[in-house]
Amino acid sequence: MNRLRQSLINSLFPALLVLVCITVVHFFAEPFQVRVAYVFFMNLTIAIGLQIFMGNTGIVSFGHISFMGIGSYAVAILTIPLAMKRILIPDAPFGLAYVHLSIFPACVVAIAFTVLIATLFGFVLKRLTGNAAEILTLALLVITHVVFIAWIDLFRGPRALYGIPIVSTLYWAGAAAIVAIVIAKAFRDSEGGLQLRASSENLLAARAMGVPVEKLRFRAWILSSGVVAMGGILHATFLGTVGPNSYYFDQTFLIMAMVILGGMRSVSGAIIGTALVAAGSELARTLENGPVIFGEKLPTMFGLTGFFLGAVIVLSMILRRDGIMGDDEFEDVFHRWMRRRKEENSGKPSAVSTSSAS
Amino acid sequence: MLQLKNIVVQYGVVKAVRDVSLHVGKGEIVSLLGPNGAGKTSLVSAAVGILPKAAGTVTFEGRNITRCAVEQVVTFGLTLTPEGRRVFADLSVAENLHLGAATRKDRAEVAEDIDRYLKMFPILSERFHQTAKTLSGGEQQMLAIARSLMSRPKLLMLDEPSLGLAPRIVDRIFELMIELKKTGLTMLVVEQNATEALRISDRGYIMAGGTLVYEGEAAALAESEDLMEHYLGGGVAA
Repeated sequence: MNRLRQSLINSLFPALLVLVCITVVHFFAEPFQVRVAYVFFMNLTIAIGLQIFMGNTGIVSFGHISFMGIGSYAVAILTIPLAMKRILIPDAPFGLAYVHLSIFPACVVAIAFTVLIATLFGFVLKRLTGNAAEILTLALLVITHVVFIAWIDLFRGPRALYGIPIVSTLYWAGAAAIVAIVIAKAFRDSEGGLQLRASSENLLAARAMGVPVEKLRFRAWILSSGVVAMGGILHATFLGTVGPNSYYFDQTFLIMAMVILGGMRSVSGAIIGTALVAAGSELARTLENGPVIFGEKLPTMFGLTGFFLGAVIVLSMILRRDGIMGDDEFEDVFHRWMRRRKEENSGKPSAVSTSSAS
Repeated sequence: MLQLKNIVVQYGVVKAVRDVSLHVGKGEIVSLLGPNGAGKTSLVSAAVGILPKAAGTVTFEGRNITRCAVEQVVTFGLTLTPEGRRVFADLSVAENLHLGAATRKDRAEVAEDIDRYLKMFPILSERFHQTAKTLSGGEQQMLAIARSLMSRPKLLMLDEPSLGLAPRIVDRIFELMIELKKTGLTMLVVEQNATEALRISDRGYIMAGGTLVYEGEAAALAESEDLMEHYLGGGVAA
């Protein structure tokens, strides 16, 4: 209970950052900037979901974006009005063409269904380590993509599903991000989270201590799939349309760049990485279109955003493999800074002990 | 207390341990000696269930634990301190100690145990909040042993506790084992440093090339120069 309270307290600062960000956007932003902020919170939710798994197990996952896709498609299929569904997917199996839920139950079902898929896949994954596990997650991404494209009766194949009620707002996205942060921090600080992090550092020693590595890995996988599904729901209910290509390599690399740049072992790192990559891609997108700066028309540079993401991953691999934050959370940096300040104020530690003794 | 019967450990087609049987009695310190590659680490890892056994049975306190998972074996009171000071380098000393109690649910007593081992290893209490990688080799070995003790073992297996440590530190570690023996702890010590290990042991086994080549009283083993020379001195397995 004590650990939980501590990690709730430690979640306050990042949660406050999100709230400040929302407030600023609410009062000062143009509509297109609101859209940028919404996408930022959505990506933040997904990046933190990915961090829950990658950060604690040390296994790189290319597969989490499929959970985003499954969550999106599930909520889409459940909430598109029946009349529209009769046109889009009249032959949907399991009578899904005649099922309609209002938005909240649909979200719950979508998350539950994503978690169910993750559970089935998790039985295979938890037995594997290292490269084998990573390649398996890549396979998951490809399999889901192929299912979205090939199961035309249900997903309408490569063409988009549309007509999803656009009900999500910036505030929902912000709330989802905060929920994700709290879940991630609580899991990281929990007994199981600590044991899992230890096992990612030294599997043999952790197993010798009796750490149930497989069970904990499974738990992280399930938990992260649910959080990422939340991000998928944010995506579908904001755009009103879902298509298979939104949940493939582009999105995977965007989120990977965010988590790797910030430092995958830290929740705070995921937040910083998401902010930097979002700002960077926004800048790259502007430059891509050849803006006019100081009366000079810059050339259009198609593909600059993709190049930027690649560069971020390459540079952080070369310069700082552990990412900006490494193992540290915001509170660790804060405590260290406080300690250093205290030492500076009190002068040499030895001088203090003699003066207190006399 | 611990009985290994006809254990076989296999890596693909290579047999690392062939048909080895040994036992450890309550309250004893038993050393398992032998040159590099003799199969000692494979044998103890298989005994606690980290490595799969191709054949053989393991009995601990009358209970057959051959098929048990490691986390279960640890709760029965059989713990292995793996070779090479495998502390969690990026975690603090405190977190390392907590992890030793991974299988325990009694939080209050875990805290008490931490206090006890900090008294036993004062250096760890000085470095309580530092990450384990900032500790010296000897300190890390102390931490690894304290961490294993956190699981409240009845029998502790120490895999090469003296590996790569300065002679003075090695002496400290072996003195510590004598102290632990007085508290009633049973130990199986895997060592290449035969002379030191035999000095504190009651009995000893010598392994070479995956099989047991000799067993006997520690004193007798230490005196038999031929044996020591042949299997341990030259470092050449039979």
